[in-house]
Amino acid sequence: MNEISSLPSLSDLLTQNPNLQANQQLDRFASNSEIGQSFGTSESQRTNGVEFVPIDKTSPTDRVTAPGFSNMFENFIKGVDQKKKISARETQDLILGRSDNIHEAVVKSQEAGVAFNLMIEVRNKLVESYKELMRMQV
Amino acid sequence: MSMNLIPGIESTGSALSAEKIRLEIIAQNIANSNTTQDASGNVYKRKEVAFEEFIKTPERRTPGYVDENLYQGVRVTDVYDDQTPGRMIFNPGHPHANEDGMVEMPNVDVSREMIDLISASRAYEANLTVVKTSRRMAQQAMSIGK
Repeated sequence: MNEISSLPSLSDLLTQNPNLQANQQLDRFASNSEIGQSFGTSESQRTNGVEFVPIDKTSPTDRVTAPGFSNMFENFIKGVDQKKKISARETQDLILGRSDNIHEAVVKSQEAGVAFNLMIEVRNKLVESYKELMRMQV
Repeated sequence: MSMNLIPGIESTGSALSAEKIRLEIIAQNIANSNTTQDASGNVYKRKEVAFEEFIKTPERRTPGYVDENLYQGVRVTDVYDDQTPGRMIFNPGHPHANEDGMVEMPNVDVSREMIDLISASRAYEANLTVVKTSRRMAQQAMSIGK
């Protein structure tokens, strides 16, 4: 995503090099970004390319965060599950007499509980925002 | 993925373990306050624990999980004998008496052990309060979203 944002802005290119054709530059931008494609076709927009620059800067980041979130959430759930497993193992060790640290087991189970509650809170928020989207008037 | 949701839990956990060992040693001292012969044939000497700070990296380290999660805890490094001589009492009929009929009693002072006991149990309690409070902090933080 940095490739596009690190490119010199279109207005800079135009002012620095008067020989450059505005249309050629726009085509290059349009092929790099979906939003650029949809806007880049209109003839009136091509002539004043300066307004494209902010759109081109925001669109790549939006695209990158989307797959990252599900991955992150999956890792988070794995972490919660891990905590639950550790807690269960500690409790089992205590009951079976393999360990004599009561506090260890209780603290681990508290940790697992807090992590689980956090997971539920995040899930509630997700479901809520999904429902909010579904209610949106098109 | 390792999460540190409850602040300070690792340090406090190690302190709880250390205080538990201290309590065990105190119990041992009180139990042996009249023991004139230990396993090696000498009079029982009062035991004490030495604590040490230690820095631990959490288990299951994952990439992107960095230094701030190193924690400083406490552990027992040594259980050592208090070498002050015990009280000598005259008791010629005692099986552990020396040639002069004197028996060396352990150098355990029960009232001092009781004070240590209170100190250890208060320290344990303080650490439990840390656990409770930090757990409550985490839960209160979650209630922001409600």
